[in-house]
Formats: sequence, C-alpha cells, structure tokens
Amino acid sequence: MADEKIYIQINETGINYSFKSYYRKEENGMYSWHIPAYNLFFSSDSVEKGTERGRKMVRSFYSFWIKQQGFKNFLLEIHKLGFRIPTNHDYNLMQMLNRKIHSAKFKAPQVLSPINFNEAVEQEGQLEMAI
Amino acid sequence: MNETIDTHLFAEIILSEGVTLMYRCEDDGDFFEYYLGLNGRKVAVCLSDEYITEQTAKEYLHLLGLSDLIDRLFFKKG
Repeated sequence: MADEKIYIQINETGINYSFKSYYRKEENGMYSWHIPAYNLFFSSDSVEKGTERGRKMVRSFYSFWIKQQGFKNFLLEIHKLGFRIPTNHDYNLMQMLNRKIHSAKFKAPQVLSPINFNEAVEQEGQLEMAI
Repeated sequence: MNETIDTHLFAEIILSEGVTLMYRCEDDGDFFEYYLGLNGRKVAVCLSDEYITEQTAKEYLHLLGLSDLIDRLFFKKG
C-alpha cells in the first residue's frame, strides 16, 4: 500500500517531492529524527532546528544520488527504498532508465517509523535541475 | 536512552572501523556526509552539532553494518 502524501514527481525540468519527518524527545532534551521514506536519521537540539535540518537532509539525498552517483543510480535507489510508479512500475522504470520517458510520479511505500518516533512534520520540496 | 555522542569522535570511530567517506556537502551551516558502510550501503550522516543522540548513533551504526559496535559502545560489561 502506498502513502499518497509522500511522493517524488520527476519532470524534465526538475523534481517535486514531499516527505514526512518523525521525531521523539530524548530524556536529555535532544531530539532524534527519522525520515522513513528515505531511511534518513539525524539529531537536533530543538524541533525548529530539526525541521529545517530534515529539509536540508532530504536535499542532500538528491544532491548525493543525482549529482554524485548519477541519475540512473538515483532511480535505482528510490526503487530500492520502495518508491513505485502506480501503474506498470517496472516497465515505466525501465523506460525511464533508458531515457525513453522523462517524467513520472513515484509514491512511497507505507513505512512505519520505529517505535516512539511519534511526532510528525510534513514537508515539501522542489529542485530545479536538468534531468 | 540518554547518552549523547560526540559527533567528531563518532566520525573517527566509524572511519577507524573501515567505513569510507564518499561525499560531503554543506547547506547553510549544516553538514552532511555520505559513507560507504561495510555492507556496501551508502549512508547519510548529519554531523552538524557537537553531539548526536544515542538513538541516532545506533541507527547510523546499524545502517553502516557496524551493529556489533552498538554493544561495545553502549553497554557496559560486568
């Protein structure tokens, strides 16, 4: 089952995405964070800082996987993370890997965050880049 | 779970265990590093603050294929 709110929309001119960060307050006052769709973890000393850091961390994910590892590896990574094109995923992914199609919307799997990451922040982002 | 881990010490520990730094980027004062774990996974680590939480450190170690270090770092024997 896909999480309708969490997606990666790839177009020729860039990428739109939305994600959800979960956090929990530790006994020492710090916050532990998890972004399940991307399997990213980080810490912060406040919710505000963590919210901003989550946005940057997801941006760093795109920077690493697209700019450093290359677009094909990026597509394979989001496939590995469970993102799926709702219709004919495997065929359309192959078409995209072969550069025969240039846009698609991937939806995230329903991923449960680890126990006690019970507070959530929903965020959106946009990247402009030639794909 | 109440420990905090010195981020620079944490980075030194994972590098000494054989993990490789692949990529580093900075975004408006926050630093993100991508490491190649012993299991071949590429893992994002955020080392912006002086400390990370024990929970975050454990998740990083698990993702990097260093789960055995969790016991050695966080549980006192005897």
